[in-house]
Amino acid sequence: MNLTKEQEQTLWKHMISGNKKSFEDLYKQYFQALINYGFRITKNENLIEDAVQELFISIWNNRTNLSEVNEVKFYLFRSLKNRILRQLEKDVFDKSEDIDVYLDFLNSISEEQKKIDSEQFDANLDILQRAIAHLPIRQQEVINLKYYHDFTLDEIAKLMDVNKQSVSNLLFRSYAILRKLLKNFTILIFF
Amino acid sequence: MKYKFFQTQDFIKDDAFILWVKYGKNDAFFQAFLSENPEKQIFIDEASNFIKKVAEAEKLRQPNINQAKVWSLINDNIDVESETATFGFLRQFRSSKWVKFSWAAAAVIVLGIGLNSLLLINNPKKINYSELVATAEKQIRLIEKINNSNAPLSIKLEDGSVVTLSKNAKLSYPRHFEPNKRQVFLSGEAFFEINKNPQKPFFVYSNEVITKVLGTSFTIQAFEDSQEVIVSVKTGRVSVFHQSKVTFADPEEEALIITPNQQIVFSRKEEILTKSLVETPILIKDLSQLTKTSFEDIPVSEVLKAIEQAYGVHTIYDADQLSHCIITTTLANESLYSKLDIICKTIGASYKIVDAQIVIQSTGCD
Repeated sequence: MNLTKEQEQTLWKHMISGNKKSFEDLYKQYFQALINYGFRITKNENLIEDAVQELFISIWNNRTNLSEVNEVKFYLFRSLKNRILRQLEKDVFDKSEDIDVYLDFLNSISEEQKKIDSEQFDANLDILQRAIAHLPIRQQEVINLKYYHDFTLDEIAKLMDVNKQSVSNLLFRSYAILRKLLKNFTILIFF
Repeated sequence: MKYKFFQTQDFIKDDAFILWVKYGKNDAFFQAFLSENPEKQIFIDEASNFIKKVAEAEKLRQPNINQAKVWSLINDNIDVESETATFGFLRQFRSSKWVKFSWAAAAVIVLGIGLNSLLLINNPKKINYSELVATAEKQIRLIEKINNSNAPLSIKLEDGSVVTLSKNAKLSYPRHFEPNKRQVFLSGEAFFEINKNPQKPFFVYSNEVITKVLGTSFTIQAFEDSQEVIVSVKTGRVSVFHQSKVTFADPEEEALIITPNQQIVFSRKEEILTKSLVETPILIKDLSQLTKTSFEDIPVSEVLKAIEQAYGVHTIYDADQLSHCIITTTLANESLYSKLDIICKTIGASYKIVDAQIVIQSTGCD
């Protein structure tokens, strides 16, 4: 399923030279991963869809000006993030929602805890998902990039415009919060 | 070796460890480490369980977007031919204008200047409904409806969307939309309720302004003799751009996006799009949907937060200065501005609307 770096670069090279099939392969390879990551930056699905669409259109239409990139995946993630952020800057309402999510975090954590306490045991993956959804937005981004998309700490630092130490701190904090949030279920989930 | 001092919180941050947990990379190394340091087993189990579970949960937290649909949209936009299709008739329109004008100008034009540069120095001229329709009809047959009565006239389009025309408004639309887009042409004022279809964005051309939506409801006022074109949103998200400058790149780069209770005013003279709030912002949520509607002796910032939710607006204020402003109030079915008037009077502040945001100015409370 996952391509090696060499395979990625070959696809990229062929795409630049005008091979439509390679372009489609690249799209198929990264579509799910990109929308998955986009969802950590905004909850607005229309915006994610538009951004992915525009990203690929712009890659193809500007392919003659594109250079060979060493890390295709990193390049795609970075470009997608830039596009979404640019759009969010224009859209004040959307931005304020993200801030709200962050501010609501402390209030909701206790409510969520109550709900979690009454949940059935077999739903534990579902509970974990909801717990993650309550992390501050940057912690959500960091665990998504690290544990699902397999980026290195250095790459994440570049994607998030912070230093490596901050990435490490964010990872630690999300781990600590998730543990705390799910403490009654640590037997099921973490041990 | 660094791993000797690792605990769970260190393992969960280690690139190599994670690759081992997820893909078994460097298995021999980690197995050896474990047999030499059996006391690390508990941390490793805990960390690897955490990593695997989070990876699984993250895979499931996926937005619902159709891969094939998006691909077909991309495909529609990357071929040179279909790339020009959406905005093609605008260019054609430009050229036909140029042709009319060119006979007079031909004598003084130096050969070798490209058409594009001529179009750019050509003074931006107003574009009206009849020219839009005439140009579009070269590609597709249109039906025209005019509302001559005093009552609003509702027109149902092929896709089930409904356009309600105010008095004297005119709408031209095709009986069958083209495969990849829905285009209509408006003169005057109309309210649009557009059915959602991400595969076929809906475009309204009204004078120089293009409004693009995927599915939402909004009003457009585009009178031929007026100096302005106004687009205001009731639900959903709308992007608006203007077409007097021919942009061969993606015109949406220039677009402004508006959400409920916001409007865009296009000044036809200055060719500027300005975002603001509608004249009478209304509640976008039912009062019953709000977490709280009555407030007793609480910081005004809490009330402002509720207002942001209820009206879909954004407020800006100095939190330090307002931190001592305590009020008691309720949110009811009233206009945003009368609510703000009351709040500001209570705390001795004032407000103004800047760029569709509410800026509260206060010297603080004692």
